[in-house]
Amino acid sequence: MNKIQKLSRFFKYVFWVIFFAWPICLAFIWFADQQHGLFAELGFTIKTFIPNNSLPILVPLSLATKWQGFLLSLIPVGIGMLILYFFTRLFSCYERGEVFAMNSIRYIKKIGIWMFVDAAINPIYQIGMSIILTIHNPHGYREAALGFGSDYFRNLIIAGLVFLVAYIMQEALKLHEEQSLTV
Amino acid sequence: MIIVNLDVMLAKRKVRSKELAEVVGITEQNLSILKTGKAKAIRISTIDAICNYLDCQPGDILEYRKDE
Repeated sequence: MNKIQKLSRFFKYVFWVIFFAWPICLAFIWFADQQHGLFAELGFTIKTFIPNNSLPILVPLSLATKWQGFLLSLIPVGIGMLILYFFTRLFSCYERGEVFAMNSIRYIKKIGIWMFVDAAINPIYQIGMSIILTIHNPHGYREAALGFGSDYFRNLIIAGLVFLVAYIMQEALKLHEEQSLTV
Repeated sequence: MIIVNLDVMLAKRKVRSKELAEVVGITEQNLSILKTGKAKAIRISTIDAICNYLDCQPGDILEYRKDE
């Protein structure tokens, strides 16, 4: 087995592991006891894992609130899992030797598109999460927070570039196929 | 769609594919691509060389049929 195949197989399995572990970790983050056990030992709270960690969470989160937060978190995590799935398919193509093939390029395009979607819906996710986490705070401490930092634009640009590169590769492959079938 | 009748002309002239490919200056693989209708494009110079060697017209090799 050559280097590309070995590397592709390795990363394919890595992505599958992350794919299954991610939602489990998410559930653990939301529903684990934050006062005791591993969470407390590591000094983590839910705020450690949300984009806007300066939100004032002044009352302990009820189970209903945790469920709301968990379900809302499933949106970006779901998109992330979809991107990981496309990566597993992409590396499967590489494992079969389909590096410069239409199949693999299509997966790169899909990854770019969903990276863009993930970045684009981030503001909605931020607003929703800030409302869920602060709605039970006393009056004057409830927030609907939204931020457009450099991270937001950077992620949008990177996603756009991934899509653009994939598009160019696709057009180049079409040209190559046409030329190779020109007698 | 364009139908390639090169096989018919090769049979009429009793010329082998390998021989035609060598004379025209293309690989046997490319000639096979042409014969099986998988070619996306054909150069004028290739048609010229084929017709010259097989002493035929382009219409003897390429035929247009309407898609049904």
